[in-house]
Amino acid sequence: MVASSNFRFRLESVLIYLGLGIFAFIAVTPFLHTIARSFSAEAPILRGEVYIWPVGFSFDAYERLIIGGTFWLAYRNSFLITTSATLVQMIMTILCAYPLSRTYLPGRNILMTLIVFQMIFPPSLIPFYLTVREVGLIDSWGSLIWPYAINTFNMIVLKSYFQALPRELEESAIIDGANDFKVLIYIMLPLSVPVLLTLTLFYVVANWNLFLPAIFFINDGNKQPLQVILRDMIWSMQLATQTASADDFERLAGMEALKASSVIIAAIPMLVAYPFFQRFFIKGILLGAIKG
Amino acid sequence: MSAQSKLTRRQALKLMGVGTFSAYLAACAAPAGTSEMDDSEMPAGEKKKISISHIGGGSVEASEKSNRMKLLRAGFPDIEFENRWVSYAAYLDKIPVQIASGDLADLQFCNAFNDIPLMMENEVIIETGPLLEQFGQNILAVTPEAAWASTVYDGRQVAVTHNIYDLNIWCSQYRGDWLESLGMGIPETIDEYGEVLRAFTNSDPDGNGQDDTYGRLLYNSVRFDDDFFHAFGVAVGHHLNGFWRQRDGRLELDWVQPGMKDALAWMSSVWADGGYHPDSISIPLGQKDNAFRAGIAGNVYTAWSAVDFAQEQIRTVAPEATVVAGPAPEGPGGRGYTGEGWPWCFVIPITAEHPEDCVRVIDWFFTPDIAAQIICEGVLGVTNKGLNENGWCVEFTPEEKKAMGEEWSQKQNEVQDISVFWGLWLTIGTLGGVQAFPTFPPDMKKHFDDMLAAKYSDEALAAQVISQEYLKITEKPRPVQADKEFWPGLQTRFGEFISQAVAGTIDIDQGWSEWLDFFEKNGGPLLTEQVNEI
Amino acid sequence: MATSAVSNSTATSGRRRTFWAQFLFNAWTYRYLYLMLVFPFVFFIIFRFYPMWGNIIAFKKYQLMHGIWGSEWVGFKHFNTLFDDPAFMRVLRNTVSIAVFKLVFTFPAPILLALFINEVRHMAYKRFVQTVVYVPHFLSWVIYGAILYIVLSPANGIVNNVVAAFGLEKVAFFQKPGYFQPIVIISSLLKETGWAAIIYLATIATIDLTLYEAAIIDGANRWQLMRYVTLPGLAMTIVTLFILQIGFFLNVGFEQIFILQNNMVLMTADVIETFIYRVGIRQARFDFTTAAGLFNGLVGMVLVLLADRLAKRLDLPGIF
Repeated sequence: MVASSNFRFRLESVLIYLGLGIFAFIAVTPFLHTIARSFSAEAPILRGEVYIWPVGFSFDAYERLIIGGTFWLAYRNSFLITTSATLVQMIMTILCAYPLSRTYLPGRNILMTLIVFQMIFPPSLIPFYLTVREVGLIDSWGSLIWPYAINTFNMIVLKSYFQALPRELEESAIIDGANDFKVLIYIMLPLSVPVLLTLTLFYVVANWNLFLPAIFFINDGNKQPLQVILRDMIWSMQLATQTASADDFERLAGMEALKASSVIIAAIPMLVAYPFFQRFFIKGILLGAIKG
Repeated sequence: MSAQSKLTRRQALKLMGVGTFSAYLAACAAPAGTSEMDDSEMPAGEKKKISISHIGGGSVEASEKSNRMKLLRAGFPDIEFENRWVSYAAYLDKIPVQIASGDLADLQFCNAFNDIPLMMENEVIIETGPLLEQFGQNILAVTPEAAWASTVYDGRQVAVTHNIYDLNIWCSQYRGDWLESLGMGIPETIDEYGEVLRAFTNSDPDGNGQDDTYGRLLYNSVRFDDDFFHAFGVAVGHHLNGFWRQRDGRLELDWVQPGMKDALAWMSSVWADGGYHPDSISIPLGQKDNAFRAGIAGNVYTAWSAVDFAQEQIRTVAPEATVVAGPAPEGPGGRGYTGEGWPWCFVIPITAEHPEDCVRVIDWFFTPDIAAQIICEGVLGVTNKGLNENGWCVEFTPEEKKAMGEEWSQKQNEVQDISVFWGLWLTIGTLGGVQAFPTFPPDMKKHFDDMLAAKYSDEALAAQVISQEYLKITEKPRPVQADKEFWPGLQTRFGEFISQAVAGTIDIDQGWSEWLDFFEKNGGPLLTEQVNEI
Repeated sequence: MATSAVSNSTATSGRRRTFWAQFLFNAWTYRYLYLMLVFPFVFFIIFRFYPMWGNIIAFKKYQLMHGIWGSEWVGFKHFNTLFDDPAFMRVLRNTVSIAVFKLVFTFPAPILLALFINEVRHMAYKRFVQTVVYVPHFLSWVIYGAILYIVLSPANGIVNNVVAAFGLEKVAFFQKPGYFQPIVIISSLLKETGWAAIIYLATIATIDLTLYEAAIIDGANRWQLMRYVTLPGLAMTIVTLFILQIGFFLNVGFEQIFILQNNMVLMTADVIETFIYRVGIRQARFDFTTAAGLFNGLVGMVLVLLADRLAKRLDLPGIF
């Protein structure tokens, strides 16, 4: 009996491992393909001969991308925008989510209704643009930060999480003489580390991939983030292939590889950052405080 | 209680210490790279400010430091230029917002077909006709008549055209080696054309014994396959404007002429015989030429200037490959290639403080002496040879570049000029490389004509001649009021119909009568009316 | 009579006084919580509520020179344009169809993935799977679409090579309307499931381990643990995300569908967002675009309220 249930457990485990492995492989193949492309020669790519291993290996695409144009400037811009915007967004999101998670707070229902309402009926593009202009943010990085300081979706996720934490924690702290700021900082936030990190990750990725707001609000080519610069390089070169005279061949020949490498190079910081966040999702956090 | 509130205040300050992170933000937001800009003689406060919006490409910083920019600043010591950079990738998203918010640059780059009607409707741009007469003689002298037509609105000239663009760049190109191995000539008639496409797919033109070649890869919307349509006396039209021509004294849309149905039936029969690459029509935008360049398809309809690049690419897999351009195939309705039309221009918004100066600035680009210094590709003296003894710029020839090898790539990296779409300098660039202006004195013109000829192979230059020979342009000069309401719907419906008709997924007779019906009921007659009132 | 009138008025003023007293009392009692909300609400007021008034251009003919307020009223004209368009019914049908498929397939997928990843005991393997499924999120739809075209190509795409190896006829997947919506659903499953699972994995990480210990002592097996411990631990997150998601029911993913659609499959591929892009945004018709946005929002609002009510009836937390 025990042996058979043990066997069954093992069989299920094998199946789960296998199933996840197959899904993971299928899911990641396009990415492997993109990496392979970024190191391949043009003709094999166009002929569909590149799968997940490069054909006609070369580093050229990366070399040209990194040296060409405003690449490093754009990388720096994106880095600064992402860090500062994420900092603002996390602080604002926490400040908004915590009070709204206190169901006893008078007026809370009205505020929540207003917030859900604005999430579903967001301002239309033109009035939004005019507002950002009135506030004087056009052509500054502030326009990519302040108008996006709270993502309602993320805020409500955090609010729901706070709301589900046991009331006793708060009450005992209040009895000990702590105020709400102390409760938030010393009790609630430490208990919410995985969720906070998830939201940080969401914000970081969204800020890093930001494209349209930069197009609308920033006119200065030197202030543009990476995604804008990369796409512009690709588009311009695509156009150039239509008109290339003999001397341009060398720099245009690797168009497809260049497109692929721009994707990879933009994704690298996010891929490197992930394991840092991941540690907290895997380990799990003991909610020791609740036990008592 | 008081102890607690003290704590709180400290906590609150800590938490809401906007100061700390706003200082951080301020540090981040400090403008990048402005320190290197050289301030010319006059203090900034006394200068007139002119902002120029242009489509990007390359490095803004490099452009700021470039010789060309120095020349421009030196030409206008009383003007302070502000470059507003728009990514080419996002132009379509940006310009509607600019129009609706009124945030246009003093010299605003735009598309005449799409944007000028919207700008006029919102009354955000000024009439430029009189200013051009006064300050734009050089512009007027070089701009072809056709380029002006699209920028006249209600009888008023409202734009500053900015380029001497070739209208005639498209032609059909074939794999010469495949034709040879199949014993076929370059097709002259539409029937011969069909045979060639079928043979490219079915007769193993590369002789490798495998069924891996195709005739042609049709573009996503069949919009860029007009060489077929012209043989039946109609065209789809490359630009979103459609293709109109005079019939019995009235302008009519080609899409509803009987020839359109014949053309679709013909294309559909080639499809049924496998004359096209099976990815045709469903292929994403921008991959139209890929099958040809990869040596999989034997025919493509594209810009003449792409001949050399295609040949070079194909030769990486088929060393003996040749690319040759052919005449437009002749059919019952005649023959022709669709001309691009030139819809790009600058406009001046009502908010511009110095409209005369705006025109003067553009005119400066077209002054022969100035143009001779700046129209070469590359950065003066680095990626081109600089000026010759006459003060005309000289490019490196392809051979010279090849000989430089590694040094050439280093030079390119040095100036960060990775793109041929050079932002502001597009003004005097052309899609086919350097083109001499008609206003150049004969010897100067010869200098630049020779330079252009040296850049392309004989085959490419022959293709250029062919594309000019068969040029046809839509006769509808500009959009009309009803376009806004009805055109997107008509365009979608028509695009859907022709794609399905060519691929044979619908019955052409039935589809055709349904399309005509749709056209009648959804603004077709009104559009025709308004086009004829222009 | 008179007395009662007097007493009435006293009662009213008394109630008023109590209201203000109550207000001040609350404001003081919860001052720290209200203080926290100051910055967030300054943000909402400036960047959300203030420009939201501009949404009235949905009922106007917006012209720059007259501004938002000065533009001429046109009533429901833009809504009529939207509903009367010959393409509208088809567009609505496709949108609802894709939206329902996405709710049925792509919403639960990350939950299942997170549950299964949670079953992996081998740390290195767990990390590996988790990282790998997260990666495709960073390919844009432009790139992902191009890859799909290659994989599904009837010329030499890998899928069709397999089809041909079985002696079947090759299929031009992107030219058959019947395949479009399945392609959309499957590709979003492959691309986004791993990314969407992150929030569930994070929530699982916060479930009290003693609950598992207790259940194991009670003799629960793997599936029972999943059913009675992990899933209840996720319930709140699932419900919250479901209600939030349903608020954007008609927004089925512009970029993905715009990239994947072509003229041959438009009959199943044209959705509200792509329609609005063509007819509204590209024509700078922001009044019309705003009207369409209000329609989307209205549908979303109704669905959110229904879902929230339903959740509360089932004793699950709503989002309010």
